[in-house]
Parts: sequence; C-alpha cells; structure tokens
Amino acid sequence: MDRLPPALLRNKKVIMLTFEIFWIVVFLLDAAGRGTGAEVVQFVYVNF
Amino acid sequence: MSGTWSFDFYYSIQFWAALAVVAVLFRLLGSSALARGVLLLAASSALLLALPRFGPVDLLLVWLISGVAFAAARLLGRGEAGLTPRRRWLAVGGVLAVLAFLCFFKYHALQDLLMGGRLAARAAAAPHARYLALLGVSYFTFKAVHVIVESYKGTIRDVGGLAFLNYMTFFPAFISGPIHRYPDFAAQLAARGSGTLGADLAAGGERIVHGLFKKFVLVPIIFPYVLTAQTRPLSAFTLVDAGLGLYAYALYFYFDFSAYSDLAIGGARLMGLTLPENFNQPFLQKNIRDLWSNWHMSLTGWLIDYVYWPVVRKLRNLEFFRPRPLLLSVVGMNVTFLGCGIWHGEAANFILWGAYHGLGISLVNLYQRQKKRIRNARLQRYFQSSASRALGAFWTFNFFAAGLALFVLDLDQLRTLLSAVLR
Repeated sequence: MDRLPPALLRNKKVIMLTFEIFWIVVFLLDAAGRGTGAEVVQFVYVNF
Repeated sequence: MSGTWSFDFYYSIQFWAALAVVAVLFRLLGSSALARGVLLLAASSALLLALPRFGPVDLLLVWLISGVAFAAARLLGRGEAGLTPRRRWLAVGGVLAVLAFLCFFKYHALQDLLMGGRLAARAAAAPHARYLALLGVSYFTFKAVHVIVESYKGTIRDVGGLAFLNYMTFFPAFISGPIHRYPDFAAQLAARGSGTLGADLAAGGERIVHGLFKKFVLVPIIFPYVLTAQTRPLSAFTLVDAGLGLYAYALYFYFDFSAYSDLAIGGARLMGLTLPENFNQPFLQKNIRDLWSNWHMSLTGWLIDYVYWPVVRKLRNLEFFRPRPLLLSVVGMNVTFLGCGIWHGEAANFILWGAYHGLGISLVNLYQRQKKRIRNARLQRYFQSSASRALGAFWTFNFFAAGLALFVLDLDQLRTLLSAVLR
C-alpha cells in the first residue's frame, strides 16, 4: 500500500482515461438501451 | 446534400468516421501544402453541408463574406505602408461590412426592419423558422475582423486565398470556436504539421476522450438540475432552489462549452493542427477578472484586442483620462463587456448581463488597487494565503452563477424569479 500513491501518480493519465472511457461507454449504452441516443442535450452556445 | 449526408458534429459516428478519413488523407499529403489546403477546404465544405441546419446557401454566404474580408485584407496588405487615412477607411469599411453581416443574422429586430413582409410569409409556412439564422456566424465574422484589422496594422501581410478560406471554414472550430488566429493557422497549414503522428494521435485522442466524458457523462448528470431545465414554474422557486439551479447552470455551461472546445482542439490535433486553448480552470480563479481571463479565452482575447484596446487608445488621447489610468481601464472594461452583452443578443437581459460583468471587473480593479495600499503585514500575509484564494474562488463562482440569471432569463422571468425568492 505504501507504493500505491507514486504508482497512481505515474499512471494518472491512463487511469483517468480508462475511468472516462468506462463511463462514456456506460452512458452511451444506457442511452441506447432507453432509445434516447439521439437526444443529446444541445449546446447553448452554438446558437450564438 | 440531403438523405444520409446529414449529421451533427461530435456526437455522430459519421462525423468521427469522416474526421478520421480527412485526418489520414491530410497527413498522407504531408509534402504538398496546396494539396492539403484543397483537401481541407473540400472536407470543411462537405462536413459543414452535413450539419442539419446548414445548407448550400449558407455555405455560399460564408464564402461571400469571406470574399469581402479577403478583398479588404489583400488591399490593405498591398500598396502603401503605414496607417494612412485611405487604409484606415478601407479597414473601417471592411470591418463594418462584416459586422453588418453579423448583425443581420443575429438581431431579429433588424431582420424585421429590413424584410418584415417576407419573414411573415416564412413564419406562415414554418412558424419556428421565422428568422434567418446562420450557424457559427459570430465565430467566423470575428475571425474576419481579426484578419482585416491585423492587415491594416501590418501584422498580417499577403493573405493567401486558400489559406484564408480554410481559416474561415475550418470545420472543427466552425460551430463553437475556439476563435483562432490567422497567422498561426496559415503557418501550420503551410508546414507539415505540429508534431509526429504518434504524439498528435495521443494528444488529440486524450482531448477527445475528455470532451466526450464531459459531453456524454457530466452534462447529462447535471442538466436536470439546471434552472431552465426544471418543469416547475419560476414562481414556485425558493432562494435555495434558484441558487442550486444557477450553480447547476454554471457547471453545465462550463462542461458543455469546454467539451466542445476539447473536441475541436482534439479533432484538429488529429490532423496535426493546434488550436488555442479556450478554458483554463475558470472556476478556480480568485476573482471575476481572472475568471474571464480563463473562460472562453479566445473570445476574451478577441474582445481585449479589438474592443478594449481600441477604446482605451482612443480615450487615452483625451485630456480628462490622461491622469486617470484606473478610470480609463474601468471605462474600457465596461464598454467591452457591454459590447459582449449586446453581441450575445438584442434583449435587455444580455445588456444587463454585460454591464454586470463590466461592473464586477471594475470593482475587482478598484479593490486590487486598495489592497496594495494596505500596510498591515498580517493582512498582506492573508491576501497571499490559500484560504484567501479559496474564498475568492467561492465568491467568484457565486458571482458568475448569479449573473447567469441575467443570461438565461428575460426581464419578465427575472421579475417572477426575484419576487418568488424574496417572498
């Protein structure tokens, strides 16, 4: 356990990206499963 | 351009497939700047035409105003040097033409004034399409103003036709920025790219993942709590409800907008092109001035260069302002943010929103000056501490979130909300 923080720090980018990709897939699958894949919240600033 | 060739940027498989093909071809043409330019223009045109609210007439309009700006920039780049009256009038004419184009598409009152009858006929056929809109109009007109002004100042010379049209229509940054600068873009387009394939793929891919995470995970989590997304009427809101709704709006706004910037920056990087950063932890800044220096940075930079400094330079010549530099910067900042508010829309709430931020930054400037005069060592130590910084970030976030009420609600809605929360 003593060596965990340096290991985490060293691999911060990989851990972060894995975390993000995992949740992107979960949310996309969830949206697809509920048939709401096309209903992405539209960006407010595009219209400016 | 109809049928299957219709998809939104960034959240459609078709877009990513098209981007991958363009990026590969763009890199394969590494030795020829002309071929890369032609490919990029063809790709940008085809991809813009895929946008659901963008048709061939829209593309022609973008090319038309690009032609006007290009002609002005070329004429300014050639001929005599220096800030002569002839060159000044040419630059003013070019900028006014571009701004008139922007105003026409942004301000419904202007469209009503100029073509009320035809708009009524449009509205009868399609009530939601009464007014003419042009996607990304602010972004590419701001870029056009930048090129005309810099050509006048002499910092841009010999604008290339192909490079300029690519600059104006560059698809990753077309719909929501960043508002990148021409010299940097043209230099990158002429060179082989910013780095090695591996480095560009890694950096671009990482930004795209960050952007997708914000867009597909964080935004859907936050959005239901946003003030304007709630189904109950504003008259039923308590102070806590309104505060939480505005906090959520601030976070939603940040994650959504910075997601688009991440995707644009990442997408461009896949082609070996580097776009400027647009956000740098704005909600961790210790005052509203610093927040604005780190929020939509490409717009803030544009406003400082093309609104704030011209106003300050003009006023500096007046006898009254010469001994009052602080007042000069306060006036300059207020004019800039009023302009920013009016740019967002013609409604009164946007003007109030601009004035609110102009006033906020002015107060910060005054406070900073007073702070420097304090001789108490203990207080000075506190100003440098992380506690002071954290408290500053907390109040700054609250100031920004409260201001969003002016941004998203019209005056009637604001009145309803205020009377409800003060009940």
